[in-house]
Amino acid sequence: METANVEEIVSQRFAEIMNLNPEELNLDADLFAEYGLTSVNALKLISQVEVEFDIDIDEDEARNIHKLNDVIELIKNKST
Amino acid sequence: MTKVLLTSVFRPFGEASRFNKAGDEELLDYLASRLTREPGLFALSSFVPASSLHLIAANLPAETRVLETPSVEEFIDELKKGPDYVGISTLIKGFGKVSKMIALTRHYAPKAKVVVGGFGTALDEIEQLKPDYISKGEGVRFMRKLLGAEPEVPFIHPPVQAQMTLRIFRDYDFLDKETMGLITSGFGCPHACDFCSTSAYFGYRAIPFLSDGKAMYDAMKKQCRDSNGKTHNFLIFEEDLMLFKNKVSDMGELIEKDPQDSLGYACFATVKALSRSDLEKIIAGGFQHVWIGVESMAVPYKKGEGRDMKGLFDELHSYGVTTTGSMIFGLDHHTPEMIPGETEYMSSLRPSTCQFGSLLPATGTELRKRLEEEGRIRNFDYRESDLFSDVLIHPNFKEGQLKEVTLKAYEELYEAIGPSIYRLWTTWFAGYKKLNANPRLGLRKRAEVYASRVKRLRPLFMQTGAFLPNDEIRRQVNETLREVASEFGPATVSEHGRAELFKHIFALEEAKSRHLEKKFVEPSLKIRDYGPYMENVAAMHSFSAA
Repeated sequence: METANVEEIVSQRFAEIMNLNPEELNLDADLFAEYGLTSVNALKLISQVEVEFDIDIDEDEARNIHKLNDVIELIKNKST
Repeated sequence: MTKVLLTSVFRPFGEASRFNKAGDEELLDYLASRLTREPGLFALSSFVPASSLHLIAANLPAETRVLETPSVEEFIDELKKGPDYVGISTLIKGFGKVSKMIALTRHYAPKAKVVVGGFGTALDEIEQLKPDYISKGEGVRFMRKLLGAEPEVPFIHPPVQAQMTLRIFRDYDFLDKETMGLITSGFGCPHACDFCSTSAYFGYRAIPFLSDGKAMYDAMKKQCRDSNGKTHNFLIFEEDLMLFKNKVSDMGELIEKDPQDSLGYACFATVKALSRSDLEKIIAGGFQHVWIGVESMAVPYKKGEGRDMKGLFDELHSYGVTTTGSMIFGLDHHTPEMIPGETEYMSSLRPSTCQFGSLLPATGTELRKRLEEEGRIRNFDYRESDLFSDVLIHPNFKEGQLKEVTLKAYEELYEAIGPSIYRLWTTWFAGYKKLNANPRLGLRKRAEVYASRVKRLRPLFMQTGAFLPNDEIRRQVNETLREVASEFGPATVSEHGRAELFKHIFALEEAKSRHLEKKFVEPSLKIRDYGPYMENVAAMHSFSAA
């Protein structure tokens, strides 16, 4: 899958969960500090990404997600 | 026709993941993980089905498929068939899995409406997962309303059954397993103990499901006849059955007068309600096992008021009524020094099976609210929400200590009063001796049931003495074997053969437990389809007419 496409989908899903404009997201911002991501919303994001990209994200990987680029990187690594 | 898919959360349960702790699959075995959680090889085993899903499915104006413990792939396969509604039943432990199952439904069945139900909905966070509907409390009426049906039309009870055997016998298909039918009388509990998630979940009131004693009897009788008489023992879900005197009395009269089958039931009841019950009457009416919440020697709950606890347990046992005693560690008054005394007290009651648990401040309870206010909830992980969790901060216990003393109590009880199956056996034998010559037909019928069980279990103890916990228990077992022989005659050739077989299985299983790595026992997928309500009613009526 193209990187741009992954970025677009991940941003879209995150924006839907957080009620934000996907075009205004900073992919390197801290999701918890900058956007107020809660553990429940993080769980939703991970669940949706797993289903959308048909991957499994384990506990350690989930714990290391701090910014959207971490999610995007994880998807790219698991999709290759 | 509306299509509904009802499902439990997905497996696996045994592997540590972001969805569950390692070993969670053991908690699915209701007996081995809780009521007969004991060292050694005599522990019992029973995987209890998702009863509530079947109750809902049988009572909807829809074509409904029930999935129990599907894998993710099996769940996806069902989603691809395009259900109109997907109902997911969960405990708090399953929160992470629900999140994934909602995402899967949105992806593979985008037109389906998602309903989340079960005790997990006590978590406020469920709303943040954005299911279309949340069914808090009783689910049958909720789903009927959702599908546009009248919620109070009489309910029918589908057959729901669990198998029981020794844990080490699970993989030996040639050994018979006991079948137990599951009957739901009602939900909720008016006693409102502060820790009780059931009581809180249903709003501190009793919500009826089966309307009266006749409906209860009919549901049991149908399961019994459908199984050619093999299913005659039942577990009735009602938090304090003996509060419902008319229901118990009407059901008991029908059971006592039944010329064909000796139906019997296990139930939950309080000391308070049992103290007001006519024991001989309810025993003649099939009452054969009761779970009593002992909670603590100090009896801090109103439900424990009434008869002396020890006197009640002793009298029940004398009639062959087996018991489950449950106790909670970590109540406010507890100190580590008090726990051995609590365990000794439980031993003195000699319950047939026993549950020890750490105090679990379940979401939605008064206890949880209070402890949150007092800052006494440890950093919470959904996966930790079980009987042996360490969620509570207790001023008298170090972190991890409550779990440690809870698990140790099971070992001490086993050393003091032996395996659960032995306690069941001796209680049935005592009941047989007391009721065998009773003038009341219903009580003599109970004696016959007890005699059959005592004889059937005898081979289990004939050559397995080496696997008992200590010499004192070995002496007691040998004494009981002598008494059984005196009452029923010496063991037959067939019984000696079974005893020999059991000895070999015990030796083999002990060697395996020493030398082989423990393997997960994951449940497999179970699927059951239900037609619309009226078809199910017709099936029930054809039984009643017959």
